[in-house]
Amino acid sequence: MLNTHVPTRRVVGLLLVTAMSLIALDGGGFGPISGIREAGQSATAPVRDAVDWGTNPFADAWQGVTSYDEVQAENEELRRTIAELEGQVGEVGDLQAELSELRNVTGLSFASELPILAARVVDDRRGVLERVITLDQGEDDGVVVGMPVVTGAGLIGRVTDTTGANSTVRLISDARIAVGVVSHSSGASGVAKGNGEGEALLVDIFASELGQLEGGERFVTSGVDGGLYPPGIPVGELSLDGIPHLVSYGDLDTLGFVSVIMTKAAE
Amino acid sequence: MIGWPKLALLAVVVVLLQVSFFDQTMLADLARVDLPAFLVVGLANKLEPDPAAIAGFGVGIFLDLFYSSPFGLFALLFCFAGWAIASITPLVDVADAFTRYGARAVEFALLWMLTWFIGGVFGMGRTSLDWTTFTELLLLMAVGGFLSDPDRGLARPVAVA
Repeated sequence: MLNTHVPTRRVVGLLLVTAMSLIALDGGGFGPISGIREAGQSATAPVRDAVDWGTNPFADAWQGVTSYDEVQAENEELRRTIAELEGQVGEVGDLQAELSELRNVTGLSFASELPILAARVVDDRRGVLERVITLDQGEDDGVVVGMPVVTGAGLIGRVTDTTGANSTVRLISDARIAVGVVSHSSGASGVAKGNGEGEALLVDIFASELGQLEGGERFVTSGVDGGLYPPGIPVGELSLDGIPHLVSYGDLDTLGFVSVIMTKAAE
Repeated sequence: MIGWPKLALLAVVVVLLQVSFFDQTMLADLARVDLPAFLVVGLANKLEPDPAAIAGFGVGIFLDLFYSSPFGLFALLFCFAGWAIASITPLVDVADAFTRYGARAVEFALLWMLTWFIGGVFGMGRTSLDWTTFTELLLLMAVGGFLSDPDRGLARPVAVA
């Protein structure tokens, strides 16, 4: 027990300076900070697992109650999509030939020879400032910080932290993510930036190319941002409704399995 | 006298509940409950400014372990919020329970907006505040006013002699 009057303003000032120093150290890439984080998370993991185990049924039940309409709508949408896809099966051969030709011309590499590592999303946390997902593949599996993470639909984020067995992914909706993008239909290029969870990606197009744009254009990674993202990964569809923005192809709401593109492993 | 061990245990439980459960659960499909912030507001309504700042720092630094935001960000925010709210609380120390509820809701809103502002400085969070955000804030204020009640809310187990 401590006396409430023992601490002084100096203590408060010291705490504020400590917090700011920690932020500065973390921003400067001070190694022990991530060690402290990892140790703290490891130490509390059993308790968190127990809380997860105890609360998951409630969370699932709550999700079912509050998202029933969404689930129903999603089911109908999926049925429609399946019907459309069945109708398009015959066109696949032509599309493949076209795709192959496009690859030769533009160097697209989304489905290239780069090694892919499938991973399961084991944790999906949304705080007031950010949303972070955790994968069941980590350093031991060859995952390295910086590797892009995709679903079949396109880019969804980038690995920002790894432990032996897990890795943390920052999603492209995060305002700290910026991706060089290009449209192969108009040739316009720019930078797509996260705009917060549930929001479309903002896209800065080079001014001289703005006039050439049309709504619905497909933007893919340009591969010009220091090799962070290989070229050709689908990012989103352009909307010119208001400020130009990209509606992400990757469905960030329901992430179950994803693929890590082992870019650095391939180098 | 403050029961610091009990306060530390409470902070651990609240943060673990937040990162394990409430970060994955939406309230009425609109808002995500922010228990650590409610706890800090509750403690600030119960403690003197200096211990409230220390308690806020403790809750924040433990929360920092679990997020990818700059380490120390929540410690800084909650330390300042604890001290500031505890400093202004005596100004609204009225008998009317509804006024006190409203004051706590506003204090929570100020903390929430400060979090967004500081997050924005570090390039995090949404870059624009829309109606969804305001709806979320109003809902959280309504819940926060109750949960940050120093005598009946999250801070209740902390004894101050």
